Amino acid sequence: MNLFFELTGYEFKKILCRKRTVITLTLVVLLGALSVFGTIVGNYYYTDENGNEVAISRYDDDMIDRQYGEELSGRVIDADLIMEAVEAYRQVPLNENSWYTNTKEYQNFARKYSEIYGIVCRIFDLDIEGFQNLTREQAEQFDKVRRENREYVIENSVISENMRKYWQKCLDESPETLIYEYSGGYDRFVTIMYTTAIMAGAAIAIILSGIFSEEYTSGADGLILSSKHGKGLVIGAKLFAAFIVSAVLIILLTAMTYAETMIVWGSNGADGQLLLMGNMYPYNITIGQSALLYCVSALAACLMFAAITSVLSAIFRTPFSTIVIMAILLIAPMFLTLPDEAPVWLFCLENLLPTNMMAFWGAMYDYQYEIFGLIIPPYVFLPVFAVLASCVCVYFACRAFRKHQIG
Amino acid sequence: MELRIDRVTKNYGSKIACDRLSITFGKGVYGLLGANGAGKTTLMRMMCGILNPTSGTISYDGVDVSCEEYRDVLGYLPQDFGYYPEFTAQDFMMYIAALKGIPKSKAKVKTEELLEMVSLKNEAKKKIKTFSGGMKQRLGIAQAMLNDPKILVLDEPTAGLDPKERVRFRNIISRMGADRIILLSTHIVSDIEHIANTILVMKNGQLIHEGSLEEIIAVIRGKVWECTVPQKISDELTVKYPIINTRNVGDEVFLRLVCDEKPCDDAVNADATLEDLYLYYFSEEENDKS
Repeated sequence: MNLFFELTGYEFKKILCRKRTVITLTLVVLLGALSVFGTIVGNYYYTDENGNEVAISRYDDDMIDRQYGEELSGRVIDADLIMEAVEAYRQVPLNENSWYTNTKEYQNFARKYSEIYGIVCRIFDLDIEGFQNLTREQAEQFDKVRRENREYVIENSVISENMRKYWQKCLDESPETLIYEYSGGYDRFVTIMYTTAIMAGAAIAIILSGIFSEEYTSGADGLILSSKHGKGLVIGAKLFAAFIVSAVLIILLTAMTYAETMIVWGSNGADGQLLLMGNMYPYNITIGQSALLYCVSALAACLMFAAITSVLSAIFRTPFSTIVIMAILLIAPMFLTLPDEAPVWLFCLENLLPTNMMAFWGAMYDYQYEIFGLIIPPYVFLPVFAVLASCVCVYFACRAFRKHQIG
Repeated sequence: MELRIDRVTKNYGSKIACDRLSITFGKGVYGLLGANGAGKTTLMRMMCGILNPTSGTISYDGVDVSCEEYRDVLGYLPQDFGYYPEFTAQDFMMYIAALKGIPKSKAKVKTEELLEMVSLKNEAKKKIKTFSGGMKQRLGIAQAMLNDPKILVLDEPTAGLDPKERVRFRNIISRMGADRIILLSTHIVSDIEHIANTILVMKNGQLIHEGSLEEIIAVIRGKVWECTVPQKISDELTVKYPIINTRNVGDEVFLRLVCDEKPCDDAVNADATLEDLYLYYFSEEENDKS
């Protein structure tokens, strides 16, 4: 075992001493920081009622929303709160020539309720005018309509009976009422985290592309493969080092993104229901839990990415080929759009691509995976799949390096 | 102690790199001679388990070349070996020692000993990227010896070494050959001449000669000639025969050449050397390649 860790230590040294690694890590950390702070740099402009252009920094603008959101936190979204919001929005004059958010009335009265407005409009499928005309009777039906919307989807989706039952069970177990929680930090975190995970994936592909193939190009393969542990222990050490480097990288970037988003937008809202982020999420978990499960999924996706990189590195004789293929694998799914009428299993399959696995919507996808009648939510299935796929990749990477011929 | 190569063939598509080679190695130093492309490196790679033969077997005391047990007693210096530029010489040696399964404490002692042997002790803490070609080659030689191998395969070990280092290295190899199998290939014929107990001559993937220096040279005994001739005759002979040595002597030219019959009236027989044999067999191939 000592020997294994000794060899792993040398593999770390090989990986971390490469110029490519140092440059990539530096860039990733810089971009990671920018992706968070970049969203609050600059100004937001709106025109006031006098036609004057008013500038407010994006940070200050977000802080106003944060303050309003925090003030409403903990309140049940019931008829009282909805009507309070409606009353506030009724004060906003609608003008075809200017956007209502530019008005003084919106800024002074309605903005405070913008989150409530968003949630209610999603449920009742309303626009600003519809919201202003919402009656108390309709507002009292909020939870009922919310439930009916989900029941409609359950009844009309082309899904298996097992999945239908699972959805119904989730709906039956979901809370009767929604309690509003400001979760600006978590909203930003799960959004920015996608970029962070993609960056981590790209960095992993660049850093690990040479883990095996650089031995081929440098000519060290002869020394390694002719040594006692060259076809066994050292392969394990290489892969172990690759996984550790990948895991540390994604964990550090996740921690950095989390810390930055929580510092800027606050860490409130972890106990809020996931339903606040979207009414169709069937899962009865909190926003904090969903963020954690998503992070696990993103970590697993990055490890799978590392495993695929390792296989390609063991197969190809130059790191460049590996980098090109991994770049395609990382970028192509972003441009892949399945038609709406595509079968559910195709969407589920699409989510198994590492890039999609790195997204919050991938981990919290409405549709589950059905294996032998067992319904598995994506936030469980995706990490398990990633681990299994990584194991297969590890096997092929070992095989490819062991069978590598120098001639 | 017996390393057996049994009807080993290696094909690259339609090209035969090694053709049904059968050799049995016992203790001693074996020198492998052959022109570029003769199949020397292919044979050595197969002996080190890094290239699979198309057919045939290689085993050491019954242990197949593919086994970890075989690699445990193997030391190998490839022709162009890879190093890690950011590693120091000591790091590199310790890494190779770990690959060979040598415990850390023993590896440290052995590393120090071997770096001293190849005159790199003072450079142990320096990064390999600062090393000259000769220094890297010496480091390569040292790493091959780390596990005190029973089988030592050295592909062009003296390339890049200065004459002093070469002599030193030859002496080390001679000493080591007493209780292990050492196979070395080199274009520097004198190295083989000095240290090999057995010389193997390869041509077109086949072993065409195997024996001691005396036995090998016997093939061209009486076929090495020396003469001093006018420039015109020299030009004719140069085209016709493999020339080993040529030197201007006043208006004439001194030639040492290999041919079956007396090349000219003035020619006298000379004692044959391994270099003569090498040129006798491979001059055509070398000319073709150039």
